[in-house]
Amino acid sequence: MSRTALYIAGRLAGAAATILVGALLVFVVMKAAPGDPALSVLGENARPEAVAAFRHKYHLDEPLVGQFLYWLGGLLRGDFGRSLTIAGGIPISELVAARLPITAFVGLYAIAIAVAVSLTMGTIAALYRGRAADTVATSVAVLGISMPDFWLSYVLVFAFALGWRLFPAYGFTSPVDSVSAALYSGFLPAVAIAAPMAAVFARMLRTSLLEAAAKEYVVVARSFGFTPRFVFRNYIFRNALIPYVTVIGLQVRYLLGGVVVIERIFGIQGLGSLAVDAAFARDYPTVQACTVIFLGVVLTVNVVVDLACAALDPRRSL
Amino acid sequence: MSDLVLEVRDLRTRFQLQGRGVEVVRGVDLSVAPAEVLGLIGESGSGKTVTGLSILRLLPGNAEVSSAVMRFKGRELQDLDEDAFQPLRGLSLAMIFQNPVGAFNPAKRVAWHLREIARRRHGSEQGWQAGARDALSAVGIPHPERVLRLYPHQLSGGMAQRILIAMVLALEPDLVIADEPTTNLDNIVERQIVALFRRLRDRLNAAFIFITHDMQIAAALCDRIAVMYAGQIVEVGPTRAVFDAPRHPYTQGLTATSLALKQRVKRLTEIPGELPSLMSPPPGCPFAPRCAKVMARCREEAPPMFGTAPHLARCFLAEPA
Repeated sequence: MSRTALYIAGRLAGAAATILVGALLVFVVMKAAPGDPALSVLGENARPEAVAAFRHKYHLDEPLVGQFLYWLGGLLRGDFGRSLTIAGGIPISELVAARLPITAFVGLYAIAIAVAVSLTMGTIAALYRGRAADTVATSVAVLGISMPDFWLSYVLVFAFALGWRLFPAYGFTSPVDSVSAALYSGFLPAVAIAAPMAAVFARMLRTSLLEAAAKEYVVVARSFGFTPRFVFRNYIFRNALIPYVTVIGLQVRYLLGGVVVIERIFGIQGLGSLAVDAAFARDYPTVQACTVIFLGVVLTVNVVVDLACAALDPRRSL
Repeated sequence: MSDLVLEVRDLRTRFQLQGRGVEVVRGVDLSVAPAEVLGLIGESGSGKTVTGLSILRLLPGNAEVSSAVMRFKGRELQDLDEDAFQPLRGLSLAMIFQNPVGAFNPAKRVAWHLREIARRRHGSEQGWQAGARDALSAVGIPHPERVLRLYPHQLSGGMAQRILIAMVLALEPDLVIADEPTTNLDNIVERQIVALFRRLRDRLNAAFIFITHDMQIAAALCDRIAVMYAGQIVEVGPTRAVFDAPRHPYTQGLTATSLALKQRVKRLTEIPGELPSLMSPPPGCPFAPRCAKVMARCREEAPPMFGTAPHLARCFLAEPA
């Protein structure tokens, strides 16, 4: 147990360093980009005094190092600061608190769909290797990997929202208000995010199932007279799960990239669209806050996946 | 003859490789009596392992197995489909494999394996722990409690093979096919495992087919010997007779190298030449190209089995005058 604690402590330290570097990078990139938050709020024709007052209020007139350290100090106290432009003066933590559940919901929804679809498709493809079902599943997977998610989004909207009118084309009900409505209105965006992931997961699962099925221990298990169902579940599937879970962990970072795009397309007021809006409006602290949160999510997922893999695979130590 | 555990006639196994059929087992006859240990010896590639896997139907999908007779304790097995055959594995016909460490489920502890074996044998896991401790003690594992908690990757080869033997014996099969169970172990452990088999042989009712390329082990463990060459049995007989008065030149070569090296460890590859390619087997005796006593007819005509039971040899030299 102490080994696990030690491992988590080490990972936390690494995560803090990664977040620091990430935050610095975003800070520098944002400052280097053209545009001015003061002008973005006050308009191109604002009086110079007003602009100076705005800059002073948000410490924009101080040296960059000072600005960064000021922001970092707030971060350490759990304070993201206040929004500059898109929601002038409102604490960013409030914005995030309203947006995070939405993005988390859509992201988890997408992962759930991707896992369910890939478990089914990957298993069918492996069980019927080389036969029609395998060819169909593998071809669908290639299609899923090759389709850009934004393009798939428009196809889904066109077919299921505008064509058959089964789902809304735009807008999303927060799960805080109604889970069932969120499940309904979030279905198309979740599918759009899930499709490429499901394809990658399914291919991985198929490959690892076939690999495990060819192992000597499967022949030995059959020689004991264990039933095919038992051998599949406890030997083949159980051992194929390890690379499968690893791949899920690796894909979560792409998932976040997808979320940003898909939230814009479907008009979901999540963290992704917040980050995009804030970037366009030069709302530096809001962009930085979103980045830090995204980084935190990726790092947390990595730790969870590592723990899960260690639990699944006795040969791996933390 | 009906009291045999296993009777096999004309066993043939073909593999489909790149559209071509290659016959690897070419008409093998075998029989094993209760509690008998039959040694199946021959060099690597002679078809010993495939013969064992064919009997248990454990070969991959590109293998076709056929036989004229496949009788287990008087019961004809040929016509059984996979669903009917599967329950016989483990409880009636079992196998011990060459690579013991790779034989375990790497994700599960030793305890899991023994519990599932108990469930397979008795239909429930009740009292499996006591059974597992006894089974492990019987194969010479000193601290069964501790070993049960280990994962397969934490086992040494010798320990893994002992546990595997314990698992197979816990299933109480009528016939065990042991496929070179000591080949991947170092010399000292190999000797210990052979000693273990010797003890078990006297204590158990199971019949064994012991596949090996080690003459010394075969001589130490087996009641009868079947010598395999190029997918065929070329000589079969009581161990003493086969080793003291071999009739087939191939067996003579094996025992000669064995004698020359006295009691030292020796392998079978010391006969000059190699096994013929089974992609295009020669028309006559498959051993003719390597045989010191080859005659003209050996290259044209494949010899049948000659001699009087129980000692037979597939060679024209053994033909009665």
